[in-house]
Amino acid sequence: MSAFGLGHAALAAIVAAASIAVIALYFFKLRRRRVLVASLPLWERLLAPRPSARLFAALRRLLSLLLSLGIALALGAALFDPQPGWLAREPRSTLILIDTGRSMSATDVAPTRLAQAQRLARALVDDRRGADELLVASFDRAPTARTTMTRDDPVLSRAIAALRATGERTDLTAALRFARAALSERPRPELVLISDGNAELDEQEARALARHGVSVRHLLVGRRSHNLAVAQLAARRYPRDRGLAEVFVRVHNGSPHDQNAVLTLLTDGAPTEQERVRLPAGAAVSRVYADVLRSQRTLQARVALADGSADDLPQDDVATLDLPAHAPTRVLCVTRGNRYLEAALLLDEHLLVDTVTPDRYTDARGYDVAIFDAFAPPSPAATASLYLGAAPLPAEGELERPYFEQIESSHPLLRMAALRDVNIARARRLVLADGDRALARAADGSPLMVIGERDGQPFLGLAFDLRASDLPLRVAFPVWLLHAIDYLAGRSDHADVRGTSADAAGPANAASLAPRALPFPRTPPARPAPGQPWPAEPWRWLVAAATAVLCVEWWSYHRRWTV
Amino acid sequence: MDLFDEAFQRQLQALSLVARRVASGAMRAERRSKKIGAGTSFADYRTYAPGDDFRRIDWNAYGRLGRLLLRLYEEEEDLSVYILLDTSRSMALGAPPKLDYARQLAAALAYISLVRLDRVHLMAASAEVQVSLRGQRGRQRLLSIFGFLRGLHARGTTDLRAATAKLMAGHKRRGLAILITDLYDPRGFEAGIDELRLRKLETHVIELTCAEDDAPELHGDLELVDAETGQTRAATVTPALLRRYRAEYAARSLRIASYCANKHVGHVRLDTRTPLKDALLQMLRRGALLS
Repeated sequence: MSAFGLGHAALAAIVAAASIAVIALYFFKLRRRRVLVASLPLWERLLAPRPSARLFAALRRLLSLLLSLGIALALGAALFDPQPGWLAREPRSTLILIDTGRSMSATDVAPTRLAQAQRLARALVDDRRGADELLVASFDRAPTARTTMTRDDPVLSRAIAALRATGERTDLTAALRFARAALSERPRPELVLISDGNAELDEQEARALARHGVSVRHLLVGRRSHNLAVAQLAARRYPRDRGLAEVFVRVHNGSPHDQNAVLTLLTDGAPTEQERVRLPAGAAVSRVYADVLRSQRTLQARVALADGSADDLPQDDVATLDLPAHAPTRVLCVTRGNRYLEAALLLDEHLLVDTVTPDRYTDARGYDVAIFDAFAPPSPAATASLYLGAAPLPAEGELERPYFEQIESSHPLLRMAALRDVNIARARRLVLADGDRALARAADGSPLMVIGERDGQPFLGLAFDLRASDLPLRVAFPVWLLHAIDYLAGRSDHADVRGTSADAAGPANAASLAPRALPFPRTPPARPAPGQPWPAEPWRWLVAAATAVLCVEWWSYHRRWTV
Repeated sequence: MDLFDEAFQRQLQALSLVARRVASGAMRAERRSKKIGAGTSFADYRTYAPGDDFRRIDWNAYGRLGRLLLRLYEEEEDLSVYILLDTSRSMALGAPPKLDYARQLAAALAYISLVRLDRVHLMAASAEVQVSLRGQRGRQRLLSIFGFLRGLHARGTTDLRAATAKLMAGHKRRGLAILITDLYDPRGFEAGIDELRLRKLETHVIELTCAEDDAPELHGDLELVDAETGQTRAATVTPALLRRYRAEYAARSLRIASYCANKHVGHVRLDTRTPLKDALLQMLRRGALLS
């Protein structure tokens, strides 16, 4: 026999307190009722003490006390929640990890895969016995614990019912890492993974679970993959004509059969392009649409089955791209004269450029960007600033013939700008302040290109004068210059994309919903063992016994058998 | 609730019609006495002596026998009826209380006696309190009897001998004594009865019982309290004990009846659960008490 209810000390205290209360109430119950009789001598003759009667009366009262104590002990034993040998086992700690990623919204299982997962999870909660504890967690891009490790079945059920599928991809590796942490040092740890397997698994992480003694079960949900998806949607403006953009769309067929689909491009809700495409099974098809006007606000790509039927996951059939508004950029160019600079500024017809000489410069209010060519204004400009050779940073000497050694090529400023072979005669050895960042450095680490903020306004500075280099002669110069103006003015080519899978790094099989058995032992959905005797938990029998004894004691007391 | 309301008085009138008795006496009551007097019932003849009332000469007898003979008649004499009520605390038990039943019973007996022109003496006694209403005669005295009975309360312990001795002191006339009591005298029920018998009174005992006396509904752990003395005794009343009690009570009742029969004392046991009218009719039909 083992006890899985309250602790021994607590139970002993409860049983002792209950026994004391029962004994106290028993004596309280013995208070006699006063009754008037006409002649006490008549009763006296009958009440003469007889040893046998006294003993019998004492035994009757003792029987009543024993019955009352029996009730208290039965209830105490029920609180103890004893488990007979055939049920006894060490309690289990189970983590129910439920996939709430994008693919769990699929409707190949009615109503959705997530609903099926919730049913399986509830069955696990219903099967919980004794001191077993459960923890419910969900995962998509990251795991989220929904409960603590608990025996409270209603809390577990509510957490399961509250789950909703997100539009995120799933990261099973992070979820397994979470599971390992949650189940560490738990008795008999078990992970029950309820998922369609539509996730990337790090097998090393799976093996780590096994090394930590965690037994894993994968309850597979989902039964097919019949889905088309807009896998990618992107738009970029033409560098030479910012009024137009090029749109890239890729659609993916996640079903095992070739599909005829209709691909539609809509701008501001109105279809502008539509074509029928043949999508091979498991393959993707791309399209590029040129000269799309940037004056539009939204771009939307839709794919649908040509026969008009719905696939299993309608959410990924549409991707929407919000185009940023495009307005001219006002630029103040403070220079003594620089043809290369002025020519580069002419390349973008959406720039409104005013040029002043340094002696006529007052301030840059009203401009989006100020360009200071070899000129350091007396105070930082009240707008974003580009310093060509006069960056507002202190310098510690000069550099002779530096060159770009370390370049942060991934920064938008340096996209498509080849600077490595730029020749520089001399440069200032700049000292960075807190918050400043070097985008390019010389071989000795000295910053050659710096971004930062002064008085709340962003700036970009070169450590050298353009005239002291051949940068203006490079193809990279106008590219870099226009990128710098866009960056400082806050203009972006980046269009926010709304859609379930359309991002730049979308997977090649974004539309695949195929349920995949993960490399864990696979089990069928859990069901209660048939024929299990009721109730499986003895405490209920004890409560029933206590109630029966209570009824017997009540009956015997009122029939004056035990008093 | 008034014990002697209109309904009760109508019952009394109905009962008086049922009770028919012969009375004789100096005040012309309706009972016969053994005295020869100026009644109307023929008793005997005697020889005429000078000075006798010649209206009483039986001329028919003279014609037959040739002798002058006087007709003699029985004397009509009023009877003294002594009604003694036990007003000890034990008489307060019962539903209705035995004392209420006893008061109504005493009123009924008193009324019947008044109708017969008997002289009624009412006495109420416990060991501590003794009160009486003496010499009531005629129906017009009924209201004063009601008033006396209304003023009685159950008080004190039972001492029938002392109570009757005190109440009967000064009463020399023979008559009928009716003791209405539950006979819970710790000194024994015989003492009070003997006290009445020794005074040459025709004694009748009306023993009152109630459900609490002969069939108490008691169970479990109780503290029995004597209604008169206040003494207590802890007891666990079980069905077996109750059976023994009932047997003991029945034996006591038998002893009382045997004693009264042996001493030629009239004895009637009335249960307060029996309606008073039925109880009185039963007594009248038996004729033992009111003849």
